[in-house]
Amino acid sequence: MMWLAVVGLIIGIFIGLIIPLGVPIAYSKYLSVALLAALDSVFGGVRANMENNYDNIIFITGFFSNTLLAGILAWIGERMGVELYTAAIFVFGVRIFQNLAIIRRHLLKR
Amino acid sequence: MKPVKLPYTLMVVSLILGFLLTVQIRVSREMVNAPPLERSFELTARLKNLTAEIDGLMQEKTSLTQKINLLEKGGKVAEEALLAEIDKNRFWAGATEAHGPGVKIILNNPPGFGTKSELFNVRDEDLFNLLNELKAAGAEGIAVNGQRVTALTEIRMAGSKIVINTKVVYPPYEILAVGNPDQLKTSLENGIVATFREWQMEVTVTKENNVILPAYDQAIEFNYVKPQEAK
Repeated sequence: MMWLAVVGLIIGIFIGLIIPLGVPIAYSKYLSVALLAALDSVFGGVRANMENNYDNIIFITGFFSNTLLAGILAWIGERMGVELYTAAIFVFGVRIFQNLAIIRRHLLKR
Repeated sequence: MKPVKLPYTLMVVSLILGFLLTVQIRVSREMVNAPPLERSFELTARLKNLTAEIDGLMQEKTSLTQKINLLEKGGKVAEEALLAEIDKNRFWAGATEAHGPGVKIILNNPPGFGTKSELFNVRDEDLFNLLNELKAAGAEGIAVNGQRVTALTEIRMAGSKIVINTKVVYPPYEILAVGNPDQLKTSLENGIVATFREWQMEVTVTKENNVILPAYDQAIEFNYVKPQEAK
């Protein structure tokens, strides 16, 4: 199962390299936060899959809404003068580590 | 809860994730080279200011160019005026050829020249007197045997010859004068010419429609005289 995700990732990277799509530097901050949210969602999905309580709808909606919300929140925070995106980075970072740890345990248990 | 569904969704999501990841990495790499965001705002503001400044300077340049053009025109006008002034002064000094209506006077020694005494030959005083009369009658330019009479012209006897502008002139003397022909002719006929005729000299005065005066051909050199400073 895992290798399919890896293949998707590789294909995505390849597409990203082929398509010279650039994001204005001003928006790169929001994209980074969105990227963290996406990463978190993927690891969360993998973990849920391992715990056999994976729900496709939740995963898909979670992925997109998390990504968009993270970006939008960072943008709003910027407008308000509050560095909200650091909070987002913090939260998502912690969750990614947690998910990774849980995935590692599942892999070790087998 | 079908595990079968997972791979495809996960694959699609991973694909999107990879794509975003690549874009972000590329942007980050650009960001390392690019100046920080605040600096870019500052630079944008400066660019605006500088653009406005450039516009102002361009306007200034156009106005200055117009001024330069005007001044150049003015310079041309001044130059032309000066050249015209120079030409006028040269003309007044007799340094140029001139023409106009006037009279032609042929003055010759009494007939039988050489046999009779030379007492009644034309002398320098006779020419002086004639030129004086012409000037008094309003002659504006005079030449004697191709020698233009100017303020510097001398007329004197050198032996039995008459010298004008350091050139020897021989009879018959041809005097050309520009002025009012009628006035010149009458004032001569009623005065000095009558005297010449009494002395047996041969004189004819004819009115001319167009008399051509030669230019004064001597080099003008002032070694001593200087313009007096205006007080």
